[in-house]
Amino acid sequence: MPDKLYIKLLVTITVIGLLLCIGYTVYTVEEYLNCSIIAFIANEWWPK
Amino acid sequence: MNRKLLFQAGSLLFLVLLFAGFLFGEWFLVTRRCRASFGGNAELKSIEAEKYLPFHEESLIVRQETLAETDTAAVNVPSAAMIRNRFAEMPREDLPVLDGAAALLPVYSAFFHALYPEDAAVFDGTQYTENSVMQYRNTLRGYKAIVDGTADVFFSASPSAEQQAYAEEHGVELEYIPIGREAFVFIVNAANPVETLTADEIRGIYAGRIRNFSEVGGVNQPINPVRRIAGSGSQTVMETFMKGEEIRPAPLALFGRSIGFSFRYYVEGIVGNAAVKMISVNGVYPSRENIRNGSYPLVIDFYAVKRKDDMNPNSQLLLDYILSPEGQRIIEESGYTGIREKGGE
Repeated sequence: MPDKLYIKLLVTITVIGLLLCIGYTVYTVEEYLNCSIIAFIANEWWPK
Repeated sequence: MNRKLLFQAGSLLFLVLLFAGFLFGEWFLVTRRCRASFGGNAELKSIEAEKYLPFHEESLIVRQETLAETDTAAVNVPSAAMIRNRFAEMPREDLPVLDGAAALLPVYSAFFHALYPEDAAVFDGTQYTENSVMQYRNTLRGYKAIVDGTADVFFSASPSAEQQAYAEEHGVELEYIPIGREAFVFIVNAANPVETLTADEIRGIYAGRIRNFSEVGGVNQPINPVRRIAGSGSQTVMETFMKGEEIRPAPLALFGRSIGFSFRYYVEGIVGNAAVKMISVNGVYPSRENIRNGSYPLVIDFYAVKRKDDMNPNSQLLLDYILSPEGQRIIEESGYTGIREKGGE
Protein backbone atom coordinates (compact mmCIF):
# COMPACT_ATOMS: atom_id res chain seq x y z
CA MET A 1 0.00 0.00 0.00
CA PRO A 2 1.27 3.56 -0.61
CA ASP A 3 3.36 4.93 2.26
CA LYS A 4 1.06 7.92 2.75
CA LEU A 5 -1.97 5.69 3.20
CA TYR A 6 -0.09 3.42 5.59
CA ILE A 7 0.98 6.32 7.75
CA LYS A 8 -2.54 7.77 7.74
CA LEU A 9 -3.94 4.43 8.86
CA LEU A 10 -1.22 4.06 11.48
CA VAL A 11 -1.88 7.49 12.94
CA THR A 12 -5.68 7.09 12.80
CA ILE A 13 -5.62 3.70 14.53
CA THR A 14 -3.15 4.99 17.13
CA VAL A 15 -5.19 8.11 17.92
CA ILE A 16 -8.51 6.25 18.09
CA GLY A 17 -6.92 3.46 20.10
CA LEU A 18 -5.34 5.84 22.61
CA LEU A 19 -8.56 7.82 23.01
CA LEU A 20 -10.53 4.63 23.60
CA CYS A 21 -7.98 3.30 26.06
CA ILE A 22 -7.67 6.54 27.99
CA GLY A 23 -11.42 7.05 28.07
CA TYR A 24 -12.16 3.51 29.13
CA THR A 25 -9.42 3.62 31.76
CA VAL A 26 -10.96 6.72 33.30
CA TYR A 27 -14.33 4.97 33.30
CA THR A 28 -12.79 1.80 34.75
CA VAL A 29 -11.05 3.62 37.60
CA GLU A 30 -14.30 5.24 38.66
CA GLU A 31 -16.10 1.95 38.21
CA TYR A 32 -13.57 0.22 40.46
CA LEU A 33 -13.88 2.84 43.16
CA ASN A 34 -17.67 2.58 43.14
CA CYS A 35 -17.84 -1.15 42.67
CA SER A 36 -19.62 -3.41 45.13
CA ILE A 37 -16.83 -5.14 47.05
CA ILE A 38 -18.89 -8.31 47.27
CA ALA A 39 -19.64 -8.45 43.54
CA PHE A 40 -15.99 -7.71 42.72
CA ILE A 41 -14.66 -10.48 44.93
CA ALA A 42 -17.41 -12.93 44.00
CA ASN A 43 -16.50 -12.60 40.32
CA GLU A 44 -12.81 -13.40 40.77
CA TRP A 45 -11.63 -15.90 38.23
CA TRP A 46 -8.97 -17.89 40.10
CA PRO A 47 -9.76 -21.56 40.41
CA LYS A 48 -9.41 -23.28 43.80
CA MET B 1 6.50 -5.41 -2.60
CA ASN B 2 4.62 -8.31 -1.03
CA ARG B 3 6.94 -8.25 1.96
CA LYS B 4 6.31 -4.56 2.43
CA LEU B 5 2.53 -5.05 2.26
CA LEU B 6 2.78 -7.91 4.69
CA PHE B 7 4.73 -5.78 7.12
CA GLN B 8 2.30 -2.88 6.82
CA ALA B 9 -0.77 -5.08 7.28
CA GLY B 10 0.91 -6.94 10.13
CA SER B 11 1.89 -3.80 11.97
CA LEU B 12 -1.59 -2.29 11.64
CA LEU B 13 -3.16 -5.53 12.84
CA PHE B 14 -0.72 -5.69 15.75
CA LEU B 15 -1.67 -2.17 16.78
CA VAL B 16 -5.38 -2.98 16.63
CA LEU B 17 -4.85 -6.16 18.66
CA LEU B 18 -2.72 -4.29 21.20
CA PHE B 19 -5.44 -1.75 21.91
CA ALA B 20 -8.16 -4.41 21.80
CA GLY B 21 -6.19 -6.55 24.25
CA PHE B 22 -5.78 -3.63 26.63
CA LEU B 23 -9.49 -2.84 26.51
CA PHE B 24 -10.42 -6.48 26.94
CA GLY B 25 -8.06 -6.76 29.92
CA GLU B 26 -9.73 -3.82 31.65
CA TRP B 27 -13.15 -5.25 30.93
CA PHE B 28 -12.15 -8.69 32.24
CA LEU B 29 -10.38 -7.47 35.39
CA VAL B 30 -12.83 -4.74 36.41
CA THR B 31 -16.02 -4.20 34.42
CA ARG B 32 -17.03 -7.86 34.30
CA ARG B 33 -16.51 -8.16 38.05
CA CYS B 34 -18.38 -5.03 38.96
CA ARG B 35 -21.28 -5.84 36.64
CA ALA B 36 -24.28 -3.60 37.20
CA SER B 37 -23.10 -2.16 40.50
CA PHE B 38 -21.52 0.84 38.84
CA GLY B 39 -23.30 3.97 37.84
CA GLY B 40 -24.54 7.26 39.21
CA ASN B 41 -26.65 5.31 41.60
CA ALA B 42 -23.92 2.90 42.65
CA GLU B 43 -24.49 3.77 46.30
CA LEU B 44 -28.19 3.09 45.97
CA LYS B 45 -27.69 -0.11 44.04
CA SER B 46 -25.80 -1.67 46.95
CA ILE B 47 -29.16 -2.98 48.16
CA GLU B 48 -32.42 -3.68 46.38
CA ALA B 49 -34.64 -1.22 48.20
CA GLU B 50 -37.77 -2.76 46.68
CA LYS B 51 -37.14 -5.96 48.69
CA TYR B 52 -37.36 -4.04 51.99
CA LEU B 53 -40.38 -1.80 51.49
CA PRO B 54 -42.53 -1.09 54.54
CA PHE B 55 -46.14 -2.32 54.25
CA HIS B 56 -45.37 -4.35 51.14
CA GLU B 57 -46.74 -7.90 51.28
CA GLU B 58 -43.60 -9.55 49.92
CA SER B 59 -41.18 -7.35 51.84
CA LEU B 60 -38.36 -9.10 53.68
CA ILE B 61 -38.51 -6.78 56.70
CA VAL B 62 -39.49 -7.93 60.18
CA ARG B 63 -43.12 -7.13 60.79
CA GLN B 64 -43.82 -5.77 64.25
CA GLU B 65 -47.26 -7.42 64.28
CA THR B 66 -45.62 -10.87 64.03
CA LEU B 67 -43.50 -10.36 67.14
CA ALA B 68 -44.65 -11.89 70.40
CA GLU B 69 -45.94 -9.29 72.82
CA THR B 70 -43.15 -7.62 74.73
CA ASP B 71 -43.51 -5.78 77.94
CA THR B 72 -42.92 -2.19 76.91
CA ALA B 73 -45.27 -0.87 79.56
CA ALA B 74 -42.95 -2.09 82.27
CA VAL B 75 -40.20 0.22 81.05
CA ASN B 76 -42.56 3.13 80.62
CA VAL B 77 -42.29 3.31 76.86
CA PRO B 78 -45.27 4.01 74.63
CA SER B 79 -46.37 0.98 72.64
CA ALA B 80 -46.07 0.70 68.87
CA ALA B 81 -49.85 0.98 68.64
CA MET B 82 -49.87 4.20 70.64
CA ILE B 83 -47.10 5.75 68.57
CA ARG B 84 -48.78 4.61 65.37
CA ASN B 85 -52.04 6.28 66.40
CA ARG B 86 -50.19 9.44 67.31
CA PHE B 87 -48.26 9.46 64.01
CA ALA B 88 -51.46 8.80 62.05
CA GLU B 89 -53.13 11.85 63.53
CA MET B 90 -50.34 14.35 63.02
CA PRO B 91 -49.64 16.37 59.86
CA ARG B 92 -47.20 14.71 57.50
CA GLU B 93 -44.60 17.45 58.00
CA ASP B 94 -44.39 16.60 61.72
CA LEU B 95 -43.41 12.99 61.06
CA PRO B 96 -39.67 12.38 61.48
CA VAL B 97 -38.11 11.63 58.09
CA LEU B 98 -36.06 8.43 58.24
CA ASP B 99 -33.00 7.69 56.13
CA GLY B 100 -30.08 5.33 56.43
CA ALA B 101 -27.21 3.20 55.19
CA ALA B 102 -27.75 0.19 52.93
CA ALA B 103 -26.90 -2.33 55.64
CA LEU B 104 -29.54 -0.86 57.97
CA LEU B 105 -32.38 -0.41 55.50
CA PRO B 106 -34.12 -3.62 56.67
CA VAL B 107 -33.99 -2.34 60.26
CA TYR B 108 -35.32 1.15 59.84
CA SER B 109 -37.84 0.06 57.25
CA ALA B 110 -39.16 -2.34 59.90
CA PHE B 111 -39.42 0.56 62.38
CA PHE B 112 -41.23 2.57 59.75
CA HIS B 113 -43.63 -0.31 59.15
CA ALA B 114 -44.29 -0.62 62.89
CA LEU B 115 -45.02 3.03 63.59
CA TYR B 116 -45.87 5.11 60.56
CA PRO B 117 -49.04 5.46 58.49
CA GLU B 118 -48.86 3.49 55.26
CA ASP B 119 -49.18 6.46 52.94
CA ALA B 120 -46.14 8.14 54.49
CA ALA B 121 -43.77 5.97 52.40
CA VAL B 122 -43.88 6.63 48.66
CA PHE B 123 -41.75 4.40 46.43
CA ASP B 124 -41.88 4.96 42.68
CA GLY B 125 -40.51 1.56 41.70
CA THR B 126 -36.85 2.49 41.78
CA GLN B 127 -36.46 4.91 44.70
CA TYR B 128 -38.37 6.82 47.36
CA THR B 129 -39.90 10.04 46.08
CA GLU B 130 -38.87 13.43 47.38
CA ASN B 131 -42.04 13.81 49.47
CA SER B 132 -41.74 10.35 51.06
CA VAL B 133 -41.21 10.33 54.83
CA MET B 134 -39.19 7.14 54.34
CA GLN B 135 -35.97 7.72 52.40
CA TYR B 136 -32.99 5.64 51.34
CA ARG B 137 -30.04 7.76 50.26
CA ASN B 138 -27.28 5.61 51.80
CA THR B 139 -24.40 6.88 53.90
CA LEU B 140 -22.81 9.51 51.67
CA ARG B 141 -25.97 11.43 50.88
CA GLY B 142 -27.80 10.56 54.08
CA TYR B 143 -25.35 12.30 56.43
CA LYS B 144 -25.66 15.42 54.30
CA ALA B 145 -29.43 15.11 54.50
CA ILE B 146 -29.32 15.14 58.31
CA VAL B 147 -27.08 18.20 58.34
CA ASP B 148 -29.15 19.96 55.69
CA GLY B 149 -32.36 19.13 57.52
CA THR B 150 -34.04 17.00 54.85
CA ALA B 151 -33.89 13.94 57.11
CA ASP B 152 -34.60 13.81 60.84
CA VAL B 153 -33.18 10.45 61.91
CA PHE B 154 -30.42 8.66 60.03
CA PHE B 155 -29.35 5.06 60.68
CA SER B 156 -25.70 4.19 60.12
CA ALA B 157 -22.32 3.32 61.55
CA SER B 158 -20.09 6.13 62.79
CA PRO B 159 -19.37 9.10 60.49
CA SER B 160 -16.18 9.69 58.55
CA ALA B 161 -13.93 12.63 59.35
CA GLU B 162 -15.25 14.39 56.23
CA GLN B 163 -18.85 13.87 57.31
CA GLN B 164 -18.11 15.23 60.78
CA ALA B 165 -16.32 18.18 59.19
CA TYR B 166 -19.33 18.82 56.94
CA ALA B 167 -21.59 18.97 59.99
CA GLU B 168 -19.17 21.32 61.80
CA GLU B 169 -18.84 23.60 58.78
CA HIS B 170 -22.60 24.01 58.78
CA GLY B 171 -22.74 24.60 62.51
CA VAL B 172 -24.66 21.41 63.14
CA GLU B 173 -24.00 19.18 66.11
CA LEU B 174 -25.12 15.60 65.65
CA GLU B 175 -26.19 13.20 68.34
CA TYR B 176 -25.33 9.52 67.99
CA ILE B 177 -27.59 7.13 69.85
CA PRO B 178 -26.29 3.53 69.79
CA ILE B 179 -29.17 1.21 68.93
CA GLY B 180 -27.46 -2.05 68.00
CA ARG B 181 -24.23 -3.88 67.32
CA GLU B 182 -22.83 -5.57 64.26
CA ALA B 183 -19.68 -7.41 63.26
CA PHE B 184 -17.24 -5.79 60.88
CA VAL B 185 -16.09 -8.64 58.66
CA PHE B 186 -13.47 -9.42 56.05
CA ILE B 187 -14.34 -11.38 52.96
CA VAL B 188 -12.53 -13.32 50.28
CA ASN B 189 -13.64 -15.37 47.33
CA ALA B 190 -15.05 -18.74 48.43
CA ALA B 191 -12.32 -20.48 46.41
CA ASN B 192 -9.58 -18.72 48.38
CA PRO B 193 -8.03 -21.26 50.81
CA VAL B 194 -7.41 -18.60 53.51
CA GLU B 195 -9.85 -19.11 56.39
CA THR B 196 -8.46 -16.86 59.10
CA LEU B 197 -6.21 -13.83 59.51
CA THR B 198 -5.10 -11.88 62.53
CA ALA B 199 -6.10 -8.27 62.87
CA ASP B 200 -2.44 -7.27 62.48
CA GLU B 201 -2.14 -9.28 59.28
CA ILE B 202 -5.20 -7.54 57.86
CA ARG B 203 -3.73 -4.14 58.75
CA GLY B 204 -0.47 -5.24 57.15
CA ILE B 205 -2.30 -6.18 53.96
CA TYR B 206 -4.14 -2.89 53.69
CA ALA B 207 -1.04 -0.89 54.60
CA GLY B 208 0.95 -2.62 51.88
CA ARG B 209 3.34 -4.45 54.24
CA ILE B 210 1.95 -7.86 53.29
CA ARG B 211 1.53 -8.27 49.55
CA ASN B 212 1.16 -11.98 48.90
CA PHE B 213 -1.27 -14.53 50.29
CA SER B 214 1.62 -16.97 50.77
CA GLU B 215 2.83 -14.72 53.62
CA VAL B 216 -0.39 -15.41 55.54
CA GLY B 217 -0.89 -19.09 54.88
CA GLY B 218 -2.51 -18.88 51.47
CA VAL B 219 -1.42 -19.57 47.91
CA ASN B 220 1.37 -17.71 46.16
CA GLN B 221 -0.63 -14.87 44.65
CA PRO B 222 -0.63 -11.09 45.03
CA ILE B 223 -3.23 -9.70 47.42
CA ASN B 224 -5.61 -7.08 46.13
CA PRO B 225 -6.98 -5.22 49.16
CA VAL B 226 -10.27 -3.82 47.91
CA ARG B 227 -11.73 -0.79 49.56
CA ARG B 228 -14.78 1.40 49.25
CA ILE B 229 -15.24 5.05 48.43
CA ALA B 230 -14.39 7.60 51.09
CA GLY B 231 -17.32 8.44 53.31
CA SER B 232 -19.11 5.12 53.01
CA GLY B 233 -19.96 3.43 56.31
CA SER B 234 -17.71 0.43 55.93
CA GLN B 235 -14.76 2.51 54.65
CA THR B 236 -15.01 4.75 57.70
CA VAL B 237 -14.97 1.75 60.03
CA MET B 238 -11.99 0.33 58.11
CA GLU B 239 -10.04 3.57 58.50
CA THR B 240 -10.64 3.42 62.26
CA PHE B 241 -9.56 -0.24 62.28
CA MET B 242 -6.26 0.75 60.64
CA LYS B 243 -5.30 2.70 63.79
CA GLY B 244 -3.65 5.56 61.96
CA GLU B 245 -1.94 3.47 59.29
CA GLU B 246 -2.67 4.64 55.77
CA ILE B 247 -4.55 2.34 53.45
CA ARG B 248 -2.35 1.90 50.40
CA PRO B 249 -3.83 0.85 47.06
CA ALA B 250 -2.21 -2.03 45.17
CA PRO B 251 -3.27 -1.44 41.57
CA LEU B 252 -1.11 -4.16 40.02
CA ALA B 253 -2.67 -6.69 42.38
CA LEU B 254 -5.78 -6.63 40.19
CA PHE B 255 -4.18 -9.75 38.78
CA GLY B 256 -4.21 -11.39 42.21
CA ARG B 257 -6.81 -12.49 44.74
CA SER B 258 -8.89 -9.93 46.55
CA ILE B 259 -9.82 -9.30 50.14
CA GLY B 260 -12.55 -6.87 51.15
CA PHE B 261 -14.65 -5.76 54.10
CA SER B 262 -18.26 -5.16 55.00
CA PHE B 263 -20.81 -5.81 57.76
CA ARG B 264 -21.85 -9.34 58.66
CA TYR B 265 -25.56 -9.19 58.03
CA TYR B 266 -25.07 -7.27 54.81
CA VAL B 267 -22.79 -10.05 53.51
CA GLU B 268 -24.76 -13.01 54.85
CA GLY B 269 -28.32 -11.84 54.97
CA ILE B 270 -28.81 -9.07 52.45
CA VAL B 271 -26.45 -10.06 49.64
CA GLY B 272 -25.98 -13.73 50.47
CA ASN B 273 -23.58 -14.45 47.60
CA ALA B 274 -22.23 -17.99 47.93
CA ALA B 275 -19.12 -17.08 45.90
CA VAL B 276 -17.88 -14.98 48.81
CA LYS B 277 -17.02 -16.09 52.34
CA MET B 278 -16.27 -14.33 55.60
CA ILE B 279 -12.99 -15.18 57.27
CA SER B 280 -12.24 -15.51 60.96
CA VAL B 281 -10.30 -12.77 62.67
CA ASN B 282 -7.81 -13.89 65.32
CA GLY B 283 -9.28 -17.36 64.87
CA VAL B 284 -12.85 -16.31 65.72
CA TYR B 285 -15.60 -16.60 63.12
CA PRO B 286 -18.13 -13.72 62.97
CA SER B 287 -21.19 -15.75 63.92
CA ARG B 288 -24.08 -14.12 65.81
CA GLU B 289 -23.13 -16.19 68.85
CA ASN B 290 -19.57 -14.91 68.79
CA ILE B 291 -20.82 -11.36 68.44
CA ARG B 292 -23.09 -11.79 71.44
CA ASN B 293 -20.51 -13.45 73.66
CA GLY B 294 -17.87 -10.88 72.75
CA SER B 295 -15.33 -13.31 71.35
CA TYR B 296 -15.37 -11.84 67.85
CA PRO B 297 -12.95 -8.91 68.12
CA LEU B 298 -14.48 -6.48 65.62
CA VAL B 299 -17.93 -5.53 66.79
CA ILE B 300 -19.15 -1.99 66.27
CA ASP B 301 -22.16 -0.04 67.35
CA PHE B 302 -24.55 1.34 64.81
CA TYR B 303 -26.54 4.44 65.53
CA ALA B 304 -29.66 6.47 65.11
CA VAL B 305 -28.25 9.89 64.29
CA LYS B 306 -30.10 13.14 64.74
CA ARG B 307 -29.34 16.82 65.11
CA LYS B 308 -28.83 17.95 68.70
CA ASP B 309 -31.01 20.97 67.97
CA ASP B 310 -33.85 18.75 66.72
CA MET B 311 -36.67 19.70 69.05
CA ASN B 312 -39.22 17.45 67.36
CA PRO B 313 -40.64 15.35 70.24
CA ASN B 314 -41.65 12.73 67.70
CA SER B 315 -38.00 11.95 66.95
CA GLN B 316 -37.47 11.23 70.63
CA LEU B 317 -40.62 9.08 70.70
CA LEU B 318 -39.23 7.07 67.83
CA LEU B 319 -35.88 6.65 69.59
CA ASP B 320 -37.53 5.60 72.83
CA TYR B 321 -39.35 2.89 70.89
CA ILE B 322 -36.18 1.72 69.13
CA LEU B 323 -34.45 1.26 72.50
CA SER B 324 -37.47 -0.49 74.02
CA PRO B 325 -37.60 -4.31 74.24
CA GLU B 326 -39.84 -4.40 71.17
CA GLY B 327 -37.58 -2.12 69.17
CA GLN B 328 -34.58 -4.20 70.13
CA ARG B 329 -36.49 -7.35 69.13
CA ILE B 330 -36.93 -5.88 65.67
CA ILE B 331 -33.18 -5.31 65.48
CA GLU B 332 -32.47 -8.89 66.63
CA GLU B 333 -35.04 -10.42 64.29
CA SER B 334 -33.61 -8.34 61.44
CA GLY B 335 -30.31 -10.16 61.86
CA TYR B 336 -28.33 -7.78 64.07
CA THR B 337 -27.51 -7.70 67.77
CA GLY B 338 -29.40 -5.39 70.08
CA ILE B 339 -27.50 -2.79 72.06
CA ARG B 340 -28.84 -4.28 75.27
CA GLU B 341 -26.81 -7.46 74.73
CA LYS B 342 -23.38 -5.87 74.80
CA GLY B 343 -20.45 -8.12 74.00
CA GLY B 344 -16.78 -7.39 74.18
CA GLU B 345 -14.73 -5.26 71.80
